[in-house]
Amino acid sequence: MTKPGDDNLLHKLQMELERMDELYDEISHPPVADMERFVADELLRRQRRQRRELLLFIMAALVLLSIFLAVLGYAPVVFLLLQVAFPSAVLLGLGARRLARRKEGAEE
Amino acid sequence: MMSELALGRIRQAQQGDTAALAALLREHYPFLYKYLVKATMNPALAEELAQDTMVRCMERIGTYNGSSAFSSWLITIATRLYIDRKRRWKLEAQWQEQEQGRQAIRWQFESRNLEWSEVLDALSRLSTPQRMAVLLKHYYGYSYDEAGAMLQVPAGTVKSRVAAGLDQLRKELRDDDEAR
Repeated sequence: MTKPGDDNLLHKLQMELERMDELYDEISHPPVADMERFVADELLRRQRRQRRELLLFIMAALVLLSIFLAVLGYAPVVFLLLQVAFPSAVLLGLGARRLARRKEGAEE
Repeated sequence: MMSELALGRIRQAQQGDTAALAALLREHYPFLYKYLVKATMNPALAEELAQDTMVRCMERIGTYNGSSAFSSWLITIATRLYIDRKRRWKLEAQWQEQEQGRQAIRWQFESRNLEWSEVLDALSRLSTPQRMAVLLKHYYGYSYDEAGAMLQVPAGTVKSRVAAGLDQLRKELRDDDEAR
């Protein structure tokens, strides 16, 4: 909400920010070849990362599946407790994070 | 409104044409960088964030639906990256970074014999949330709702940040006038 006399302030602000933009007018468009190399390198990096993540996912899934089968076979009560404990911990964590963000927003 | 050329490039980029994607990013780089310099008041950080924004844009180009201008979409990504980065910084490091940024930008003005004005100095001293709210509302002309979506806060919060930012600017400029 603006107050009386703010027109002058906003005008000054506009002028000064335009002056600042002019200072960086010499920031030209990067060369086409550099940009194409940047995009190609980034795509390659992403492909490698995706492959690594997929491998990690498969390994983690195998480990979890082994634990799941072992616990289910040898200690069904512990298995049921874990089934309740893990989702509760995740939900509590998410709730706490949401509250912290809201508090952060209010402080700002 | 976006030109047919830009729309065509966006469609090609979404279909996996890397040359079109590179051309699109190249075309918007100066706009993005200038926005980030004003938002962060730190040229080095602005450059880093501009690169991060382009990487994120490449990852998400498929999700751009044309409901807002491509430049607004870029600003949204850049703003969120900056907010995320600030959340991760420790308070001390954050202060030092901000101070170094202010010195760097001031030096860039003075080295070209340009005046580093009281308005810019006051703007650089605003808290980041207030500066970004003032910038998006009063320089780029976004509505409170649009700025709220970019900053991931309710429109009411943007409104109060803008009002507090303008109050602070008014106060600093008045103090400077009185000191003279």
